[in-house]
Amino acid sequence: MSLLAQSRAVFLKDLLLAARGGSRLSGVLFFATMTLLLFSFATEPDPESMRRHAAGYLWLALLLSSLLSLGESFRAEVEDEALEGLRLLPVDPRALFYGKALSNTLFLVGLSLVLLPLSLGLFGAEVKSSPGLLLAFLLLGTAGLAAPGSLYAAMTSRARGQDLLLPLLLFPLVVPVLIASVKGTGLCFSADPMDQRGALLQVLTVFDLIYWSVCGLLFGKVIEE
Amino acid sequence: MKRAFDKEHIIGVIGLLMLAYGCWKALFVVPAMNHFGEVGRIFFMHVPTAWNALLILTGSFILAIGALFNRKPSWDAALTGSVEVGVLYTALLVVQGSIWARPTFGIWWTWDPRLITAAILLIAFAGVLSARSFANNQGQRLRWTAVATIVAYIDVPIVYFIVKWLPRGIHQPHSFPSTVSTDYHLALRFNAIAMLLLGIWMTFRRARWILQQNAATAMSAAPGAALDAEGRTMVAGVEE
Amino acid sequence: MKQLASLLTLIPALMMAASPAVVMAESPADQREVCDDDVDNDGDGLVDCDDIENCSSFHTCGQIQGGWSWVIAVYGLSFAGFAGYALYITRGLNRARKEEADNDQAR
Repeated sequence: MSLLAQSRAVFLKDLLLAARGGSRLSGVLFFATMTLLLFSFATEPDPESMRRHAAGYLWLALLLSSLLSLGESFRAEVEDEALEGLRLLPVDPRALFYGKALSNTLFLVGLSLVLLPLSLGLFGAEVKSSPGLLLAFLLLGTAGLAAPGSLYAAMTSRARGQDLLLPLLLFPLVVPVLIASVKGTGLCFSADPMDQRGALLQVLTVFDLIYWSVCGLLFGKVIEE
Repeated sequence: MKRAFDKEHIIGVIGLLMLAYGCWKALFVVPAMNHFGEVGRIFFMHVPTAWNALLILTGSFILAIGALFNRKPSWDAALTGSVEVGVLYTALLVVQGSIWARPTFGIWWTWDPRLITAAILLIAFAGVLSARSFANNQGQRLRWTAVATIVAYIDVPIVYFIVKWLPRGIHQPHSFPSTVSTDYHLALRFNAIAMLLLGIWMTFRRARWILQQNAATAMSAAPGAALDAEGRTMVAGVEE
Repeated sequence: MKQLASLLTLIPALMMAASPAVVMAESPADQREVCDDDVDNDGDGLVDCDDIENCSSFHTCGQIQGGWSWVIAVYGLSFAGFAGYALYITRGLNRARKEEADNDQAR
């Protein structure tokens, strides 16, 4: 089987697992919604400042919930020693990575699509760009979270203190994604006088390309036992 | 038992002497700079620290790639030593920069590409060291350290680029006169080379310590541990 | 103990991750006075160094006061950092070597 077909098989396996065990989805969704609400409680109830911060809160909620969903996506593999089984198969470790990262991205995009209207409502922001552009930011941004996230979630999945290790390693790395996504999404919520959105999309694309290839190469090393 | 003299001490002593000379030039010989006054002397410590922090972490990146391929415990020890020294230099860099910014720009911290990059560098590599301590065995420790070092290192130019590209920072183009004295260059270069040598010395010493610890662990795990041809304890558990 | 140390590292990581998000969303246009561009950025009628309120501490707007104390702080902290780490690794290495020697003797 080619790398593509193998990745697809892993991706579909994850989708099936997610579809069968709905508790994971709903749990993370609840957590993300709660985070957004907490942000709105923790800041001054000034409509203007809430509107300006909407993009930042949306992405912070996504980042925090991505920790849960990433950890969760490898928990199933470790609990039943399924990862061992996968490694014994003649599968390219890169295929495991791409399948996992893709399913994590999809999950995060779905989550962001739920959180988006919520944050628009909660913080009084409105989308002033084409929806396609906003979707591109959500997609590229979550892909940037998912690639290093999947690598580190796999690495820490069998470790003591996993819940601590994952954010410790992941947060410093995703700063560029976070900056570019927040800025880009924020510009979709307001006017874009300096026409920066195109350049921000380029930054995100470059980041994604780098991390999807590097993490794919390194994935084999981290799942060795 | 008398222990043989470790050769890296030569590097350390040369580094110390050069640092003493460079700092003497920087503090007492170079005249105060036009706008900065005496505060400008911080420059001779700050800039070499920045160069060396990046240089040593670049070294870590290369060691990490090597360690992933050859899986030698000695490479793992050198890698860890260099990441630790890199973190030390970056921490010093951030603190120095903060102290420098207070009198010159009136602030301790701001949105600036180099500040943010240095801070991310510090946190990312401190995270690498922290993760290392959670690994279950030696092989895992090597792989985790190497992988996390590679990934963190790649992040650095991206952070720098994106922060630089967004709003304006405080690192304006230098306003130093173009006709600077030779003392100025001497102080800067001596300090830079001295810090590099000291960094190499510290990396060596730290690596030795790790290897020594590994040997001790291997021995206590298996009291009759195998000895290699030179009579040292062989380090077990690298390739499971 | 190890957990605690890691947790402490996590706090700045969180702050760093959060600050760009908030800063970026907050400031579409930077309206502070920029002290060396011949433009009245903050719109108070005073340009660059004339805007004493905002530019008095800028380095080209006058000699900086109290220079030596800052210099001593930086050099002192740097030397302390080098010396502290060197001491830490030297003591660690010596301890590990002593342990090995003790083990050798015990056998």
